[in-house]
Amino acid sequence: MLKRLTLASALCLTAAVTAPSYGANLPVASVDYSADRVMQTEVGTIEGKVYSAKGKERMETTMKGMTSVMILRADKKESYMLMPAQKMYMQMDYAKAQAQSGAQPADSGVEITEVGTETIEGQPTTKYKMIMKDKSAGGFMWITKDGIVMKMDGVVTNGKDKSRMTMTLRNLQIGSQDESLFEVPAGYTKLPSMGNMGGFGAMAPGAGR
Amino acid sequence: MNRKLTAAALFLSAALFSTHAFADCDGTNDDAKRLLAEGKTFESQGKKQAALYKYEAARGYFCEKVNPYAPEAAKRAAPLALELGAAAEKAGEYDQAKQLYEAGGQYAAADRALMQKVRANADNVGSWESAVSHFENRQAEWFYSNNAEMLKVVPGYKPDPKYIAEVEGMPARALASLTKKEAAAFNEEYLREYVQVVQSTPSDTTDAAAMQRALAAHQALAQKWKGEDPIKTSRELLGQLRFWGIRADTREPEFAKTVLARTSQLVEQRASTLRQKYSGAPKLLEHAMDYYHVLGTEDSKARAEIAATKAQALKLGDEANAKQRLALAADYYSAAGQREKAQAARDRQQQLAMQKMQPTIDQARKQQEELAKQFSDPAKIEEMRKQAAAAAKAMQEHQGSAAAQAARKEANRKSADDLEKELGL
Repeated sequence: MLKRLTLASALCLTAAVTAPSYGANLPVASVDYSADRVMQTEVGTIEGKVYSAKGKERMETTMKGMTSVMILRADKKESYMLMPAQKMYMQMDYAKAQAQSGAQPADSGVEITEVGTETIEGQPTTKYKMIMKDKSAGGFMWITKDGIVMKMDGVVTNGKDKSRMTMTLRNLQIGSQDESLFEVPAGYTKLPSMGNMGGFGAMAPGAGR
Repeated sequence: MNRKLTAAALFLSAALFSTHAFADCDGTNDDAKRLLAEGKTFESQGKKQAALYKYEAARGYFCEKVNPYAPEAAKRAAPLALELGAAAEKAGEYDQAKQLYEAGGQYAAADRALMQKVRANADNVGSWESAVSHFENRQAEWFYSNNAEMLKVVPGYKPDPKYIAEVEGMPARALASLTKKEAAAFNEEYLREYVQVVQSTPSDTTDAAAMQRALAAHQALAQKWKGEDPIKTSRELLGQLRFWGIRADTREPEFAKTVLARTSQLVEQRASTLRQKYSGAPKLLEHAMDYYHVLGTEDSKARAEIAATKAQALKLGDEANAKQRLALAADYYSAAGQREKAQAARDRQQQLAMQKMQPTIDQARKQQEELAKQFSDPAKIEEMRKQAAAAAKAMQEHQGSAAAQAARKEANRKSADDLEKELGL
């Protein structure tokens, strides 16, 4: 179950973020870029935008005019969920945000093999096959020479349920991104986060010597 | 006070341990007759242990010169004791086995059970004392006169000289065993690691990352040493050794002298090592003082060493205090018995931590106030309610009707089947 969900999450995340999350066997995005993202799932088509720079990601999802934004700052080990309509944001534990976003653990239990080359949305890519080692789920990924995941097509199972999910990037624009995209905009109110109450000490034997 | 307690203890011991050779008689022959009859009844009911103890009582020391019921009681007791004692011995219940064997005059078997118990507790001076006392009694004239009837039924009893030699060798073996165990327990690898963990614990308790690392280091140390404190174990073993020195004094004065000297030597060695090499951890100075305590409060040299260790702890506390390592200083002061100084160091540390945390606390309070302001504004609340309703509506519109959703799901499932086949899953 966990492995299946992990792969599902990993596939979802691929749609949104760059390759570094996918472990050592896949190319790593080496350029900054932006693109339109189209996801097709059993609940329908979801469109959004992706902005990527080294160590930074911004994922926007728009549904009938309602937008939500997730910023992942791998460089600072921080992440934020923005609620533009409310002008609020919540700082999230980076590791938890990664997990929620589907970032893949170090030992994912996924076998990755190169299966050929194809052109996706005008971009030459290498096609990879990913299979869970227990054969419970899998999919394909199309990655450019710069490490950008142009397309992903996967099937995931969860108990008796089974679903297919496809993600494609369109209008890929390679080039540096505005730094402000990866920051919380001015005027946003921070929602208090739970936990992270460390720092007061006295939890270790002999603490604070 | 001590004298009164000692006298009371002596009276109590005399009352508990005097043998029947010196006790008042247990009753008349009528009592012996009754006890024998009760024993037979129990035996006929299969209550073998109860029967055995009735027979033992029936052959006891009665006021008349001749007890005509003793021979039969002894005869009946012997096989029961052998059977019941063997079962208890097999189950490892050596105390009970000995008692059962004794009740039926199976003295050789009782000695064997006693020796098994003694061997299992060979480092315990109390165990040696009970064995010595047991075999002294076995060689006393009264033992044979008091148990004459029983010895007629189970004849030929003599204590095994091998057992006696084994008991006589116990003190020397215990000394060797305890010193060996103690040497193994006093593990300097543990001490080095312990000091390292204590010294690497940060002074700044507001540094969450450093505190986490310190906690992990403490946990790793505890895990490696299985939560045990080898130094406490070493001290307890030396305490056990000193008991040998004190309690063996009456029977083995030379041995006792040797043991006490060896104990003092080891205590001095251990405490000095802690004070000289591992004073980086306040707890280890406390351990050093506890080593001296092993020698007893009346030992003037030990008292002087404890005072010197406290002075050392005080000095190290002052040094840590000067370096702003306040929790460490507090622990040194506690070891030195300087409670007020320890508390002052802890208070100061708390104060510094609060000062450091103040900007974070202020920021959190400000955020809280801002949120409270927003959520107390009716216009803002209404705006948020509208936004939530719009989001729900958008989601509903996006997903379409229930029929559309079901059709989409089914199509997706078929598509997933196709991909599964392509992937060879």
